[in-house]
Amino acid sequence: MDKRLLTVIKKELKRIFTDRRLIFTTMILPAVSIFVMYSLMGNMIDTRTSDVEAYVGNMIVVNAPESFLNYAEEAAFTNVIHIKTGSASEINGYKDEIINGDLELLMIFDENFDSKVENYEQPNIQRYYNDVEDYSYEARYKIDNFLTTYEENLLGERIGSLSAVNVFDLNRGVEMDALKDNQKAAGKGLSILFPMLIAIFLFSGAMSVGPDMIAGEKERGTMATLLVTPVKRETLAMGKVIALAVVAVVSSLSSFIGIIASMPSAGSMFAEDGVNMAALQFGVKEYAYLALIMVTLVSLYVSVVCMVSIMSKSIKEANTYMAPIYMLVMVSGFTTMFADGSVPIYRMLIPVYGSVIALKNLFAFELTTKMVLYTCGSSIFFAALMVYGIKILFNNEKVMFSK
Amino acid sequence: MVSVKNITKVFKLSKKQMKKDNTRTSTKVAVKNLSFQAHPGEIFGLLGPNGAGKTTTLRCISTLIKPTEGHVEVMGFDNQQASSEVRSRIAFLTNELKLDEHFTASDTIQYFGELHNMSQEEIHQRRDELFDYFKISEFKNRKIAEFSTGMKQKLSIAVSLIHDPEVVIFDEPTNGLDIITARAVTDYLKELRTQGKVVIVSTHIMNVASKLCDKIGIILDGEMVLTGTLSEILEETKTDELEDAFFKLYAGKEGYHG
Ligand SMILES: Nc1ncnc2c1ncn2[C@@H]1O[C@H](COP(=O)(O)OP(=O)(O)O)[C@@H](O)[C@H]1O
Ligand SMILES: [Mg+2]
Repeated sequence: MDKRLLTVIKKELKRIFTDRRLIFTTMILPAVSIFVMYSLMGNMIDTRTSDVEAYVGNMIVVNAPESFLNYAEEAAFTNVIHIKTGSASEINGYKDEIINGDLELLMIFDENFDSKVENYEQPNIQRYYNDVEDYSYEARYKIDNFLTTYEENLLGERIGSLSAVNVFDLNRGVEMDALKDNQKAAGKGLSILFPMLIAIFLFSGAMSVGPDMIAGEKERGTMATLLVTPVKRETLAMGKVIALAVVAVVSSLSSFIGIIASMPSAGSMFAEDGVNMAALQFGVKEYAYLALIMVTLVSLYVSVVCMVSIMSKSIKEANTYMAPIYMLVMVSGFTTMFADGSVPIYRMLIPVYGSVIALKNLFAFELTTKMVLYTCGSSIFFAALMVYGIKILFNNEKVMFSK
Repeated sequence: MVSVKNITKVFKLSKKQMKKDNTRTSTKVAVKNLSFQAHPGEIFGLLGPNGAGKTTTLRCISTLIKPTEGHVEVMGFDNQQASSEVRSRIAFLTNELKLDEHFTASDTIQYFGELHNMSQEEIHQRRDELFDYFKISEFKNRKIAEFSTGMKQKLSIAVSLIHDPEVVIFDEPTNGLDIITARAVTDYLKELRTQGKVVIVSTHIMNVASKLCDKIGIILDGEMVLTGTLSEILEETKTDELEDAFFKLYAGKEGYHG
C-alpha cells in the first residue's frame, strides 16, 4: 500500500476534526437534535394522553329516564362525565356545540324510555359525538362502557337479580394478561422509527462534508495541484472515500448516543404499556449484525456522495444534486416505517430499503443470517461498483477539468 | 528541456457547451498541431488572446489532460508513458489556486511535500528556504485565512514548488495580482531562471511577454504562428514593438484586418 494513502486520509480527517463548525454539524448536532426531538415528542404525547384521559367531559341528555340518572349517580359516573339534561327542541343547537368542540356528547332517549323497557318495547338511544375532537372521542369510549353496565343493570332488574345476569367472569385472579416476550416487545417499538433514523442520519453525516472534500478541491483549484503530484489518482480517490467513511461513522455514533439518551422519554412513545425498555438486551451477534449493516450502508452512502461530488464543479452544485438523493433516502426509510419486517427476501437486495428492513428485523429479533447476507452483499456490491466508477472519474480529464 | 511535438487537442462539447459557445459543431479544436521547445535557464512565454489555447497547451504539458495527437517530453520523459516521472519534475500553477484557508501554511506545505514522497528533513529544509525567500516564515503557523492576498499568492507558489521541480509552468502568472505581488512573482520567475529551471508561462499581456520572457511563442486560435526571441520576432515581422508584431500576425491570420 502506498503510504501516501494515509497522508491523504490524515489530512482530510484533520480538516474536519479541527473545524469547529464541521465538528458541530457532524458530531454534536445529530445527537442533540435527536435527543431534543424525541424527548419533546415523548413528553408531549405523554402529557396529551393523560390529559385527555383525565378530562371530565360534558354530556347533554334529552328525555333522560329516571333509571339512567339514578344509575349514573349510583355508579359515580357523574365524576367521569358531567351530565346535564336538555330539551328536545334544542337538539340541533347541541349538535352544533359538539361540532364546535364545546360539548362532548349528546344522548337522546326515546320518550317514556323506562316504561318502554318495562313493556319489552325495545326503545332507542341516539348517541352523538365528534370523532376529530380528542375529548369527545375519549368520552364516547367512557359512555359506551357505561351504557353496557347500565343495560346489564336494567336486565338485572327485569330478571329480578343482578347476579343472574353475570354468566362468567373474565380473568378472575389473573394479574398479567398480556403475555409477551418483553425483549421483542421493546424491540418492536424501536423498530418503527430507529432503523429509518439510522438510515437518514448516516446519510446526512456523509452529505455534510462530502461536497467540500472533492467538489471543494475542484472549485478552489487545488485539485489540479494534487493531480500534478506523482500520487496515483486511485490513491487520492480512495483516501477521500475512506476519510469520508470515517466521518460518516463518527457522525452516526453521535446519532446513536442521541437515540440512547432519549430512550427513557421516547420509550412511552415507542413502547406499548408495560413494556420495559431495559428488557432490550443485544447480544454479541446482534451488535455484530448492527455494525455490519451500518458499515455496509455507510460505504454505499459514502460512495454515492463521493460520486456526486466528483461530478460537480462546485460545492454548491454538489449540494444541489445531494438534495434529491437525500429525499430518496428518506422516502426509502419512510416506506418501511409501517411495513413489518417480513418482506420477500429479494427485496432485501434493494439498496437502503433493504438495510432499513434488516435493521427493523434486528430490533424485532427476527433477523436471519440470510437477510444479512442479502442486504450487506447488495450494499457492498453497489458501493464497490461506485468506487470503481469514482476511480475512473478521477482519471477522466473531462470530469476533473470541465470548463 | 520540454519539447512539445505537434500536439492537437480536440474537446468534445456537450449540448450545454455548444449552446454556451453558440456553435453547432460538437467538437472544439483548442490546440492545432502545436510545437515548441523550452530550455533550462530560459523563460518561455506563450502569448495569445483569451481562448487561444494557452491553458489547454499548459495542461497537456502538465499531464493534466492528454493531447488528442502529438507528444510532449519533459526532461526526456514521455508525458504519457512516464507520467509519474514527469509529475515529479514539474510544477503547474495558476492564480486561480485558492489553498484551503483552514490549514496553516506549514500544514499545507507539509501535505504536498508528503504527496511528493519527500522525507521530513527534505520537506523542512525546502519549506524554510521558500518561506525565507518569500518572507512568510513568521506566519508559518498561522491559518491561511489570516494571510493577505499577496501572502496567499506567495504561499501558493511555495506549495506548488515544494519538490524543487526542474520545470515550472505558470498559467497567467500576474493576472489579477496587485502590482507589488505581481512584481514579486516575476522576480521569482527570474530567480528560477537563474537557478537553471525550465520556466514556461502564458500571458495575454504584451509587457509581461516582452520584459520577462527570453523566448515568445505567439499563439492564435490554437496555432503557434511564430516563435523566437523578441528581436527575432520583431525582425521577422518588420516591426519595432511586440504589440505591433502581434497585431500584424493577428491581421494576417484573420485575413482582413489592417
Ligand atoms: N474542457 C473543455 N471543454 C470544451 N472546450 C474547452 C475546454 N477547455 C477549453 N476549451 C475551449 O478551448 C479553447 C481554448 O481554451 P483555453 O486553452 O482555456 O484558452 P486560453 O487559456 O488561451 O484563454 C477555448 O475556445 C475554450 O472554450
Ligand atoms: Mg487560460
